Amino acid sequence: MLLPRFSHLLRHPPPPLHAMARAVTCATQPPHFHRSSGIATSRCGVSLPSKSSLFGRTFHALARCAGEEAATRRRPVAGVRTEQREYRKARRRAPPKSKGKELQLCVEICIEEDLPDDPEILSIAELLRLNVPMAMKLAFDGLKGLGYKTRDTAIRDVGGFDSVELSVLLCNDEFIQKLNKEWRNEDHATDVLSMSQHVPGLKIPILMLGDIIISVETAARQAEERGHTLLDEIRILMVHGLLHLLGFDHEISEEAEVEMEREEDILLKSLDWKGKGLIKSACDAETNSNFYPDSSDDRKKEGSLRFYKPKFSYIFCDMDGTLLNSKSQISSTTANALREATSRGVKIVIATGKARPAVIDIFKMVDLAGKDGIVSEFSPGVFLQGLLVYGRQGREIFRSNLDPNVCREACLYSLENKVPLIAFCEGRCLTLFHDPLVDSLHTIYHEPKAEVMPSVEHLLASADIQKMIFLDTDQRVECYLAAVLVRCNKRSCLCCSSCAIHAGNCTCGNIEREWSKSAARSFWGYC
Amino acid sequence: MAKPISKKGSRKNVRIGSRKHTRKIPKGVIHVQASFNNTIVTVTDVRGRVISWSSAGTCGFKGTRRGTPFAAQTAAGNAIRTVSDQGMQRAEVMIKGPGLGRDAALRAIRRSGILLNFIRDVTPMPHNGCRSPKKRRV
Repeated sequence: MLLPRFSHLLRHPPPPLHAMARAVTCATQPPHFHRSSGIATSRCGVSLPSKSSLFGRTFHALARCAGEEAATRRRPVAGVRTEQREYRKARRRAPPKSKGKELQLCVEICIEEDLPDDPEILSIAELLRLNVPMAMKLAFDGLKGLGYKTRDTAIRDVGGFDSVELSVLLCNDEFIQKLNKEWRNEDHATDVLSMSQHVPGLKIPILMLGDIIISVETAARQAEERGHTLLDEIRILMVHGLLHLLGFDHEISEEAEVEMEREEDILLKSLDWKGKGLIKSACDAETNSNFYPDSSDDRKKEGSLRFYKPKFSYIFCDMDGTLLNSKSQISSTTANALREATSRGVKIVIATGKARPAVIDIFKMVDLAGKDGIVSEFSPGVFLQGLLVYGRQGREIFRSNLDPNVCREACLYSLENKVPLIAFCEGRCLTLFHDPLVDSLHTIYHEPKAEVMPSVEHLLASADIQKMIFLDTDQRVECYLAAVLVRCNKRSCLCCSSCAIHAGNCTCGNIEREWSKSAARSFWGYC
Repeated sequence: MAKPISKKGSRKNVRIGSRKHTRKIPKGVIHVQASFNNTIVTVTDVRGRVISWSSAGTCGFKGTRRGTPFAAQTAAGNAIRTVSDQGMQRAEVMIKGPGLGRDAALRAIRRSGILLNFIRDVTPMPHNGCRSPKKRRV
């Protein structure tokens, strides 16, 4: 009779050894703290193990019970070999439990890659590192009570694990819509998704709860509707998702809905977090749906691009006809758009035919000039049609001067025909005689005030000239264009040979005239 | 006379088996739990007892690198190597979760030489929030 018992005992020693080795290996893994980095292009992850004193007490009690059993078994120890082996068995079981005293809550808060580094989102992620373990601890306490009938009891007692892992991912509507379409066959964005990875019956030291994915964009919208902050809304969504991972499901029955709603309320009130549970909020929203305006506009509302990373790093922008209105000013709408782009890290570089002082003057009117603004003496830009180009820190990287002989001919033409001329010399404007058209260049178009030079030689000697324009009325410009077209026809110019001989029938001429009327500048500036 | 002889024989067989201290498990189940931040690969026998397991965390990856496909590949390789040495030849694969590591872990399992009876995605339908789909119009 003794022999079968003896052989039975021999079979059991190996498994406890393996279990002990695994437990020891896992116990020696030290927890690591990581802060969310400021790198824009990489995904940020935060790992925060949290230790619960309550679970520590529980394990301590278990250790005592085991110790008592060992003490009890010591008493009948005699010379019998069988009883000695039982004693050893008891010894081997005690160490792994004592080493796994405290349950570690490993919560990783991640921000999806395409979400920009919004300071509010980053601070919310930091707060969640502390808030989520607190909620988990309270939720685990709730599991011990057997008051819930509809909860899936796959996750019953977390005491048997060394650590519990949960992953929280903050993203925008685009990302959560992809997940919703892929895993639930619903092609629309939602506020929170809970994806469980728990495998029932798997005896490993880590309890893998799963993922909670929260769309910050939807949460911001709902927070505004419900009258609390974005942090409050994200907490509510996190609690809702956590209860789903623990087996609650409000969609299977009304009783389940009541139970989950009650548990949501208990958690939020115990943690002293603002707001109602998500189930209750949804019911109230359905009741009060009359008060919400229904907007069917597909266009994104103002501020809705907050949760999307800009697609561009730089914007090179013209001034006339682009940033400026018909009064040569920047409208308030355009100024706000420029501020929004700048605040998202998009850099704006001006590429224009104007002089740099003119651009700075225009941006000053909307408080966007200066070192912290869009354009200043220290910012890059392309001016005077690319004849003056400034690079980093506003240093000059390209300059193209006109030939002095060409300038002399233009000046002599200006004097002989009484056509006002403007010479652009870096930040200055020079002219030969006073004219109302010259003044309008300063008063309307914000170019530097023209300096009247006494003679051609003075003008040529004072500075290098990059650009020259003639100013004249629309009628006289048309006369010049007609004369040029006639001259081109006589010379059998290639571009005009296909047109009618008479200038009046030339379609190119019509286009030129229409163009010249809108731009009060001479054709010489563009030929 | 025949009965006592058979009893003795069965006892001897039992003793011999228990002395070897090595168990060969030809078939098993490989569970892959892939979250966005971690991947855990667990190998069990057909009755569900864990033979070996590994995770991106136990392989030394920390922080954001735990969710990468490379970490999942390493974890899968470590878990499979142990059972390959023990003689496992066939397995079924159960994948759970949407993480980036699911494909990488699967590739590592395929390359290990273990014949796969089938690969099953047992990811449950995720739960949504509780917002009414459309607001009623008056």
